[in-house]
Amino acid sequence: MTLSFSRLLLYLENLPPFASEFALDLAAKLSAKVFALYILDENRIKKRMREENKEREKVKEEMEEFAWQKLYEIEDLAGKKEVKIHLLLLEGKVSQILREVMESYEIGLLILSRDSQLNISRFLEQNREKGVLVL
Amino acid sequence: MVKLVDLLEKGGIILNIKAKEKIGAIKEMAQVLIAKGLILNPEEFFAEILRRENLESTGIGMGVAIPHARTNAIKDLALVLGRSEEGVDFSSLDKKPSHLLFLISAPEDKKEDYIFTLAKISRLIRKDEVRIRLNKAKTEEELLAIIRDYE
Repeated sequence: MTLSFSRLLLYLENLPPFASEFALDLAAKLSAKVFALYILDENRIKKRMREENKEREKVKEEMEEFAWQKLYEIEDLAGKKEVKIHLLLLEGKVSQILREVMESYEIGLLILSRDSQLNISRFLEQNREKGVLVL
Repeated sequence: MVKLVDLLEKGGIILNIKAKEKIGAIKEMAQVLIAKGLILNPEEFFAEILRRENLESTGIGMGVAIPHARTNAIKDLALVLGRSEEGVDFSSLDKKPSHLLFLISAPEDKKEDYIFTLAKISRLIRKDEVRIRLNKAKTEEELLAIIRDYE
């Protein structure tokens, strides 16, 4: 198996600042392009609707705005480090979207937080052929 | 909290951008800010916007582009909305021309408001109905009213 690291996927959920810095520094070193991804997880939308007693549209709006803030924060940092970055905001099931994005954008390495809501061991088990870095 | 309507009233709206290509369109919108005395150093301002644009196009698809940069060449957070009937090629991933252009810039120390403004616009323009209404509006007042409705 050969991995190419010209395209890195950075999954932003609960990603600590040191991990963002590390990922962008790594991308700069490898001259790689970063795809920063935030996922509006269907289960979390439903959970917030229940807990906060809010309409779906309202919850989605709030989550979207928060997601864009996270995406533009990382983009701002990437700009300062001269790293090419593309922002993605998608909706659906986290593990499925990660897989789809890795395939459609030909991602060589996925970087994610150990504190993301994803079941990491199961994801790694199901995606053995993919490069994944958990920080 | 930053309001897009306030920023647009302070910045400006161009109902029909004349430029047919990206750099010309950005310059046309920046000219609005220069005329209002909001830009301290036009050369540095263009350079920073174009540097950002060269890193990755800000054409986000759906007929929208959001050229932006944080630079001390500008006095304060500023926003210009430009509309192009023919569309401008911003090398969007969906290959479609951009009809709604939002130029956003802020000095280095206004990072929070700058990020917030970018996020707010990005959230707003994901709605089909917002884009359709903004493209159809006939006057600046109408455009502002639409943004006020969804803000």
